[in-house]
Amino acid sequence: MDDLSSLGDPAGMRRLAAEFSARAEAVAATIDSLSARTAATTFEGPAAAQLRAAMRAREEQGRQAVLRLEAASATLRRAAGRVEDEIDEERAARRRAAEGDPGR
Amino acid sequence: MIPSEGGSGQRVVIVPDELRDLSSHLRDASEELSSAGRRLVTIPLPEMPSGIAGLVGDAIYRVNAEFQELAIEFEDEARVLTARASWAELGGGAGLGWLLPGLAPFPQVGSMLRGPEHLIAPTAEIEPAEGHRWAEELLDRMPAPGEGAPVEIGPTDLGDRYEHPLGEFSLTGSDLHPVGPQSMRAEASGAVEGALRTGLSPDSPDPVAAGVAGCILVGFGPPDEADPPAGDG
Repeated sequence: MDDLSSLGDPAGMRRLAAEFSARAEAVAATIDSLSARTAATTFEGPAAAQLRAAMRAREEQGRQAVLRLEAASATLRRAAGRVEDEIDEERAARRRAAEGDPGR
Repeated sequence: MIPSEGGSGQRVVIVPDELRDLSSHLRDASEELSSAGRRLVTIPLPEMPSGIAGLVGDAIYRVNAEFQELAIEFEDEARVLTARASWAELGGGAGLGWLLPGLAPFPQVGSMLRGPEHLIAPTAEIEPAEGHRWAEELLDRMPAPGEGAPVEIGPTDLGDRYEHPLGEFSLTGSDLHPVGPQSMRAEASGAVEGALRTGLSPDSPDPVAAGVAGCILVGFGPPDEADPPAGDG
């Protein structure tokens, strides 16, 4: 391990991104299942209409949270790629410096 | 199943077992979301550029808050559905001509509950309106038939912690309008008031309590959801 780790830990960032994606997928599946169960429940009347409206709003809120988590995951993956590039560039620069080549 | 074209003119159908099943799924979803949120905030964060760390930290904070909020709402909804299922069974029993348990000392109330199809429609309206905390408490504490601990809601509870039910939920006049003639309303009101003063408990040695509780919440619904009195004013 060299001091380039201060630029970031791409592998760790990708693991975190994967964790975010897994959580987002699990919660999305839970919301879908709940939505289907709510739709399939025999329940009619004013209170039923109220319940279904409230559930739709909650499902939407849940899906927005899932999207936010997926967006964070994507941000992490992209950032991990950039960090890797920076690390590669820095290592190359150091090699060139060590070989007496100031580079471009 | 409880179908009705009752007093409000709106069809109401409730299958208590299906409501309980949905309630169970809501509880599972609540736990799933709560757990997912907790996991997010406890994941060790790797080294990353500070700008990205800020974005990720903000996302974690907001997503966890949303998951926890939804978890609470799902849990609350589950509780209401479970209570609604229980009350629907009571209301359905009434609408189908069954005598609610414990109404024998008050035959005038029992006769009200045996006949009118009006009684079924408000079954779906049992969620207490804002400002009727006592009714919410009653729903909270009323277990499903055949299970759970006794429910004890007496005048002390109601007086100390909540609005007095007879103040907030006056069971006279227009509240009873859909379910009987004036003379019957007055008698029923007296019966309900008496039962409220002695406490409401489905497991009470005096079983009037459970029946009256059902009479109030299933039969009549909160006052602001009751049918308006005909020719009022």
